[in-house]
Amino acid sequence: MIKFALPYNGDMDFIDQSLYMYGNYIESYFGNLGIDDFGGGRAQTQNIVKQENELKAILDKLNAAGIDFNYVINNNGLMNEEFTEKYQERYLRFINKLVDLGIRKVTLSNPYLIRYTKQKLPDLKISASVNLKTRSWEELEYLIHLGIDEATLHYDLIKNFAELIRIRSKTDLLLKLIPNDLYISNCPWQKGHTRMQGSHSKHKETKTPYFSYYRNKCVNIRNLRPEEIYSGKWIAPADIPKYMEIGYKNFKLLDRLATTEWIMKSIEIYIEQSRTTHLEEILGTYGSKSNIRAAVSDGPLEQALYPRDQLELIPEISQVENKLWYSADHTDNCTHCTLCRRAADKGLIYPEEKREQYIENNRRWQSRITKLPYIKELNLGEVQRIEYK
Amino acid sequence: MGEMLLPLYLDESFMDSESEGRIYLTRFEQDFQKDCFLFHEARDYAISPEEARSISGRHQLCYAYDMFHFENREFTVEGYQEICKDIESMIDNGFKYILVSNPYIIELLCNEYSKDIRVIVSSQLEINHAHSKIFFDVLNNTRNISYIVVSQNHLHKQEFEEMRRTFGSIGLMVELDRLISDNQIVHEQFNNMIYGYYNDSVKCHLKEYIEENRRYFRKQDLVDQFDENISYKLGEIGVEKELPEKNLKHLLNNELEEIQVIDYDLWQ
Repeated sequence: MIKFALPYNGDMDFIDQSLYMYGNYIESYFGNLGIDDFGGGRAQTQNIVKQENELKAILDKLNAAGIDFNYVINNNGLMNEEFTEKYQERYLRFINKLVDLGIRKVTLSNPYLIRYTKQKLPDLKISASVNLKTRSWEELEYLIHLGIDEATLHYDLIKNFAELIRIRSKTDLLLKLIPNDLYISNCPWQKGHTRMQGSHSKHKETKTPYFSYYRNKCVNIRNLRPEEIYSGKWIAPADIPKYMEIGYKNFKLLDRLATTEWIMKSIEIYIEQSRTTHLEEILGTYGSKSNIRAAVSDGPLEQALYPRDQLELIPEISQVENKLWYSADHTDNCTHCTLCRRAADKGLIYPEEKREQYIENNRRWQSRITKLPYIKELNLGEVQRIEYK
Repeated sequence: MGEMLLPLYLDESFMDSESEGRIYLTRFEQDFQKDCFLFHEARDYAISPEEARSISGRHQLCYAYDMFHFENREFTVEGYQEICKDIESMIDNGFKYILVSNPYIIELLCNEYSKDIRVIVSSQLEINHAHSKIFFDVLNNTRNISYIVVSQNHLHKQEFEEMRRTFGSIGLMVELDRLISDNQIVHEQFNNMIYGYYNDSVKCHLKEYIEENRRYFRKQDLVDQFDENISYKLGEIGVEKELPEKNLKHLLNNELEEIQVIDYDLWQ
């Protein structure tokens, strides 16, 4: 049976609703207190921040149902702080507090912390974050030696069936794939993006603004090259059985910043596995309805901080059947292949004239973001995150 | 014809040597990345603005500004202004190139300083795939990007040739003397340590890490003989002069297998 790791979006109703509707399909929830001393994969805002007693109430409920809450500390940019005694003391104190609250599993992305945590708290289960970019059996084996108990494999493996099959043949470890994030193949921005999020979601001395810099690159490259949608790493609901056939039954659904309604709909669609049109609605990058209530700047292209509606063109995405993507012969080298381009011609409704307009809009916006007035405005007031509205 | 990126040593014999096609890597002690472990360790190798001005008349200088992550401080007004001040100081003191890896700073250089300084993209950006060219395709302007120092984790000869064809006018530069790993976790943590902030424990952990992970590291295999059309990077700020000098001789004598990895010496 398909099992999901579900994103905790800060809404207790989501836990209740999802347990009631889909309890049998839930392997775990993942999330954090919103902001802590260590940072994770989502830049949070105040409306997600939870107190320990709120987390405790969730954990009591989940532990009674036999479902884990996986506390996420997947900040890739610890900047060597992890080697200091002060950090280690603080970290241990925090982890012990989590354990006392009822946490049995943490997601980590720093190799040093994985080993350190396993040494200090051998009973605590460690989940390897997708941010570790585990793309081969050798890398997974390395993490197993460090002490992980499960892993979320990297997006780049999603259309590499040869390696997925190879990995599954080597281990029975709980392995998860993320199906509903439209990840650019071999994304050159991931390193920056994950560090930016990690840094923004931890307490630090300097207040820094969150800036949708990397998200915009990702969206804009698809404005320029629609084929990046199909060469991107995501799994259409109807293709889920292909992964289950080769031994991948656990899927981690995004997004922690999405509304309860949106996540519930995504679960339903991924369980039914029949939806073949309007797939953009279930992809975190395009479709997610955000629960962020932070101020966002609307307005003219030449003035707004992130005029999302003028920068991000959302195409209609349909399922395209393609046997090659799911064969062991599919390689990572797209240079001489036109398959995804042909898929884009067939599966996308992406009005050409609008696309040109959005490319131009992005060009104009990009010419502003490296100027001092933009940075000044970015730092004004309480706007901490300008990505969603 | 390729060029050669080498560390700068304030030494007459070195400075008087052949300089055609050479770019010398150096930095000032005080800049926005002064807390970086690598640059803190190598602070004795920094030069003064006056020295830069005097050398830049005879030699091409490249400023090492390739700390990747600044904890988002580059987006604060203070951070942005500091970075711009650093860039303007490089330009004023005769630097022709800047080695840089932070995506936003690359875009800043391309948008605001394209006429004043040329960009060499550091291997810290991890450009190691033909598809990585999309990074540059979305920028408004890439006219001042001269080279990309390719990251060699997971990158081998065949893919490198593919990259050379794909990247066209942007030259690819090959580091010949650094530790490379095809294990992403090993490779990334290694770079995180070098380009993280300085503290008293890092060096000890780094040395231990290199020893523990020795079997995951390898030498470069992108080039097996000296090719004048390829650009190379040898050495690093902070490594003793003799090592890159020796490695340079090996390169020019087409003895690439003799080139010694510098990372084992860098942290002694």
